[in-house]
Amino acid sequence: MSEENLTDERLITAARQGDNQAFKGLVRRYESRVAATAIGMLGKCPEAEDVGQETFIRFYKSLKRFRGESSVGTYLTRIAINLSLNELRRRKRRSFIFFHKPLEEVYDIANARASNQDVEDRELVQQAIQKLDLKFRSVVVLRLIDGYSTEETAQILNVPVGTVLSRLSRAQKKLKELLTPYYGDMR
Amino acid sequence: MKKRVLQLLYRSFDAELMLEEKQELEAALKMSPQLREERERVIALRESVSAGAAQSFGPFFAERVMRAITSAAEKRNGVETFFASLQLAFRRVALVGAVAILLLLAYNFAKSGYVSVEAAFGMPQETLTEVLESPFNATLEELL
Repeated sequence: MSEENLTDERLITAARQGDNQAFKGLVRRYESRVAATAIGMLGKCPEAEDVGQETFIRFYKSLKRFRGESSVGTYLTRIAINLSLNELRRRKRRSFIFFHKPLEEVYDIANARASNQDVEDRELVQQAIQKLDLKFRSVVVLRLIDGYSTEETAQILNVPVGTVLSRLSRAQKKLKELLTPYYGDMR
Repeated sequence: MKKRVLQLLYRSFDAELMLEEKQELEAALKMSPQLREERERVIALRESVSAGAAQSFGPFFAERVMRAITSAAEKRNGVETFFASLQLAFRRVALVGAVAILLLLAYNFAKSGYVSVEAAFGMPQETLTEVLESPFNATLEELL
């Protein structure tokens, strides 16, 4: 039977018994979700792929301990978001040492738009997301990009639902401010 | 636009509003064209954000992950094998050493005919008087 037809549980059982093809099947199945999270948080850069790889490596190492209390997707997203937050903190420290201001500010959306008119809208949105503070960025990525419910987002980030709602509201206002000059009134 | 109604509008996308809040928002939407425009803006924004989601890390990502896992496992196995062989070697040396010590003790005890610390080390058992009366025990004057 092809790995695409197997459930997550069966693939995990097979992977625990040393079947690398089964684990590869899980990587293929959840790559898009982990990519959306890591690239959403870090932008399209080599560090995002490093976070993606590390997410799956940690999952592989914890296969024996994984009890399925949360779905595989949520488990992987939690790892990916934590690794991305760690990477962003490292990046912030680096940029403080070398640039004295966050990297996100060094690369400005307006400059990108002016210097290259062919910048795709997708990249523009990604760049706008990169300009959000970490706490706003993580709720935008989980709720609007990964499509988790407000409750799931709260669980993954370990914050109350009310905090997620207020952060989302503020993040949307900020995104609107950032993108309105390029999209007009966003309609 | 009232701040409270705007907050309700934003919240309505992510949470279930209570009945009164829902009615308040619907009434405000009917009354205010700006609020309807704002709702359209938020919908467009959310759509463009979700459409902007990356779908992949590029081709052969799964293969790269598996290679990283395999090479990490090989490295770990190499280190584990080295320490396992080292442990085995030490265990053998310790066993041979322990047997040698036991044999030596047995030989010394058998040779001396009694069991004591001196016998264990193969030393003669002598009293203090015997030592002092020993013919080899020269006095200081004799030595000088």
